[in-house]
Amino acid sequence: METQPPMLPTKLIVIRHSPHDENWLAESLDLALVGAVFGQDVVLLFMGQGVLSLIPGQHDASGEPLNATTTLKTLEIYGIKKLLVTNNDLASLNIRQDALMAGVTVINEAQLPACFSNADHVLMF
Amino acid sequence: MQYGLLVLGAPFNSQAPRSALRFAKALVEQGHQLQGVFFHHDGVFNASAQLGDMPPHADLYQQWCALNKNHTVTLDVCVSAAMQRGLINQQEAARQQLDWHNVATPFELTGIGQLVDLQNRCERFITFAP
Repeated sequence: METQPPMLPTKLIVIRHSPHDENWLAESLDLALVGAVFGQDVVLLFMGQGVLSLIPGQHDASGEPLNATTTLKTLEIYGIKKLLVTNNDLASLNIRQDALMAGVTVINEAQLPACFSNADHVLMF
Repeated sequence: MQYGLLVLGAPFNSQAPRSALRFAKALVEQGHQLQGVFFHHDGVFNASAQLGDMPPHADLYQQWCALNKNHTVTLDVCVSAAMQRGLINQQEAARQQLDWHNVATPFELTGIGQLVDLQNRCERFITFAP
């Protein structure tokens, strides 16, 4: 009889701060990467100002590329493929979907409760 | 029920640590088990012994210590976030050849893996963030 592989625990990390707001983004991505290394199925949900993290080509005050947004591009290597944002947050920030980096999934508000209820672990950043 | 807490706010700019402490006390009063508290981001400032000496924050520091002493709640601090903010314990200070440190027991500097482990051991894990 064929045995099913064990289900990985799902970790939902909610990123609510702008990528220019201290190092919230970098420290939340550290947790995402460690979770993935520990075999968790990591989902990132960008809310509010956190949505701005998904716009490519951003720089810090000294003109250098934002390290944390560079890290976002490497997530897939670690098996983190679910980057979510709600259409309401995009609309409130007047950001078009095609302005976001590749691989982002836009969900509607009605899908939001399931994101939380389907997660074994939730962390709010 | 087994609980764990994540604290992301500093004593001097956020209500998060005080809310977390009140929640922690309510948990143990109602018979739940608080497995541990993990401090990350600016929450690591809760582990500063120097801040803990200052009157506005001394009671908060003492209450975290009492939580550890009375209920054996671990107080884990993300080592990476702590060192970025100038917080270091005696062991790390010796490794870096520094003659000072500002984090002491019952606060322990640990890696993020400890947070993953804590979350795995808890049925409920609550974030207190600004």
